Amino acid sequence: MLFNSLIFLVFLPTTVVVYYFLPSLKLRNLFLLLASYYFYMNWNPRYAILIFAVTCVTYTCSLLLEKEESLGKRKLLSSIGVIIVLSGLFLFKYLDFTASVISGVLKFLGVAISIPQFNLLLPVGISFFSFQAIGYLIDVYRRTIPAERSFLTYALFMSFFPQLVAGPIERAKNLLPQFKTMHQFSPGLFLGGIQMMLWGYFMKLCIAERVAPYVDAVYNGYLIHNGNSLALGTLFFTFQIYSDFCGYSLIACGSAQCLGFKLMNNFNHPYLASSIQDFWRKWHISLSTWFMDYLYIPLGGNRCSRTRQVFNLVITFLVSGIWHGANWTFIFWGVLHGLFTSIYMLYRTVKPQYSLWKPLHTFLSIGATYLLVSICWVFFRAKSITSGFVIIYKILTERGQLFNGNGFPDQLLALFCIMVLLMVEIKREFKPNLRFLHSDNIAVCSLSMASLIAFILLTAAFHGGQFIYFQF
Amino acid sequence: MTKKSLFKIVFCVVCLVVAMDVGMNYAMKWYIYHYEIPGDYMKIDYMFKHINTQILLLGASTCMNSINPEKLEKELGKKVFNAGINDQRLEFFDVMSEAIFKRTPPELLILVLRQNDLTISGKGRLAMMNIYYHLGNTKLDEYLDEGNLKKRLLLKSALYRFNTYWWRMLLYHFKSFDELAHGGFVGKPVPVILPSHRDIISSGNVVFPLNPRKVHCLENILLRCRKTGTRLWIVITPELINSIDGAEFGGLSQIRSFCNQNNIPFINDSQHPDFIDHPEYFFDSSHLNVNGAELYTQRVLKLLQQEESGLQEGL
Repeated sequence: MLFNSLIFLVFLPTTVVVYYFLPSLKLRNLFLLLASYYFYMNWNPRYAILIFAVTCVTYTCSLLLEKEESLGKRKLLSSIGVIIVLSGLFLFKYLDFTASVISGVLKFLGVAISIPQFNLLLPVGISFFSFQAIGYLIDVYRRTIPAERSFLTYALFMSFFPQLVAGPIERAKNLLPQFKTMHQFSPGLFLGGIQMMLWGYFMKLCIAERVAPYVDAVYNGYLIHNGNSLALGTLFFTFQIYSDFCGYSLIACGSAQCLGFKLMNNFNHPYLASSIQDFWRKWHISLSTWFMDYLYIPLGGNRCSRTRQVFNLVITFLVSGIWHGANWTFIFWGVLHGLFTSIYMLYRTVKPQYSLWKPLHTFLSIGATYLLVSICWVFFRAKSITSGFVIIYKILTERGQLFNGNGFPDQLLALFCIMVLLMVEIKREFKPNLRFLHSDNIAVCSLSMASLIAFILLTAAFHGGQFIYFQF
Repeated sequence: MTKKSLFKIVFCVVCLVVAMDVGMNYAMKWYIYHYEIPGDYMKIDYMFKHINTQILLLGASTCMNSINPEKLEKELGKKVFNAGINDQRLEFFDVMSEAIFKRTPPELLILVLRQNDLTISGKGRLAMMNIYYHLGNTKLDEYLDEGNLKKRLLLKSALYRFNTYWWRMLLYHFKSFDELAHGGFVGKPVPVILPSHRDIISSGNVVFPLNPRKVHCLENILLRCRKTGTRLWIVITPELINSIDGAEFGGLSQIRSFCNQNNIPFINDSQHPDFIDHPEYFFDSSHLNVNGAELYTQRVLKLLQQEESGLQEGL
């Protein structure tokens, strides 16, 4: 079930109304669990078995882990749990890729063995719920949280529909206690949720969906398009992926908030980041903090030599790239981010002390960061690493008439919507007290919400496309 | 925040959105009535409000880019208009013919079809006609109402119906293209790299199923022509195709048999020898360029002159 489908607009209000009418916590959780499985099974009912299996395995492992006192056995138990979860992820996501890599290597060595491709359909959101389960197991192993005894509560934690298919990847210590509270209907929280969802729909429908055909056209036919069209396509893609994913996260958080739950914030104006490190504090926060907590810090973090720090960073970003998909482009994207972050970290230690007019310095830093991030996005979107380099070369060298796409009005409208988004983000970042949508004044708040709904109806692209991050 | 405040906000938002929607509806209706709508709409608007032609060319881009009415007008001394609009299908032709035949039926309607027009399921760019929904075009309302529930619900909103079109109208006030120039004909340029042939191979005994709605649209057009005494031709313009084993596109035989059954002149030029081996006349494998269009206009002129002098064998 897509957040931008009609069925969801019926499903969510029904769920909210029934949820608040149910008299006991147990009934509410059971209802939410059923609703979540129904939500997930709308894609493919068979994959509910997978999420149920992951739930059962990690639930059992966590209970055993809590009982076990011996560190060695605890390590073994948690490793078994993590390996089982990862093997599901590997089977569906990386098996064919690994097989093709092995085939390639064997072919290079002159061994002619063809390894079959399984072409298994990737279950929606597998990376998200697998990582959530692994995070929970590690937390129980570290005794940061106690193991959850109620299977119902744990199953709901694993399958809570707003964040099930594309995050935010929640931490057990934040979400599990919320399932043990009898939420009273809070008008403020509910209104905040609706406002979040509205902004999410604006980002998804007015920006991501509008620019998608242009991006697809120029990136799929990059050989026939000139540098100007590819540059515009890249600019559009940077906002497509942001608006698509941030839009999804906002709708997810908003839906959860309507039910009284608070999910973690996944984005914080990432394109206003003043360094690549700052970007990762603002982009896909739930994933970057996951990697920070469960990979970067265990590897040694930054409490080690400079060389080791660089190694830790590159490894963390490499794994982040692999997490995104079984393709060399994602791996290269991850490595590039790792390198840029490492270079920035080293630069910071030798940075010359100079005084530049602060607004100008901020502006230049934001521009430079956006440029570096955009270079990485080229490889993320390109079909192969080589085509990524060709696209960058064409952007730098080839000039010509812009590709028309669906007509220039479409492109100009997309740019207009991007400008609206940027203006709102700049206002939120630098003038947080100036509020329209979230104003305490009923007239201002109502007028802002109504205007936003009207603007969405007037400018959205109602193609009903999937969210990009579902494929991860 | 109290429940009362929440209720107030929700109530205000609903009232404001409804007010904006109603306001938009009135404003746009007024605009459409008083102004020529720019862009692609200029042609549609012209057909709804002003058209008075003797020969009407109706079709999609293959029509718009292939036949120059100015040349036909000059030679025949009759009013000719090319009403071709990009990516339109039989539903659109049905809607437009309904509107035009109500006002001033032409003497001859040349319907330029694509080979799969009777078998395809999509409606092309019919959604661009949303702005005319519930403005008295029964056929259009019928076709737009065939969409899914989400589309039907959205169509009730004027804000949705004018989705992006307000923007286009705004932009075209700064830069306008005269879509009615050359009698509606738009010549495609000669491409730098000449297009290549598309291969079609024999599909054996595969019969492409007719789409009943498309047949219904074509029957409507035919009925209108018979009622008003308008002659109807169905034309397939040249394409750059490489037919293997004498194969033809699926769907073409369906158009042919429809024309035979209803005694409609069918001019199938999809593999016309003057064009088939000449990529220099094409913009891409489906569309003629300006040079190709000039040659093809000559061909149509010749057919029209033959028909005028009673020599129908050429059709």
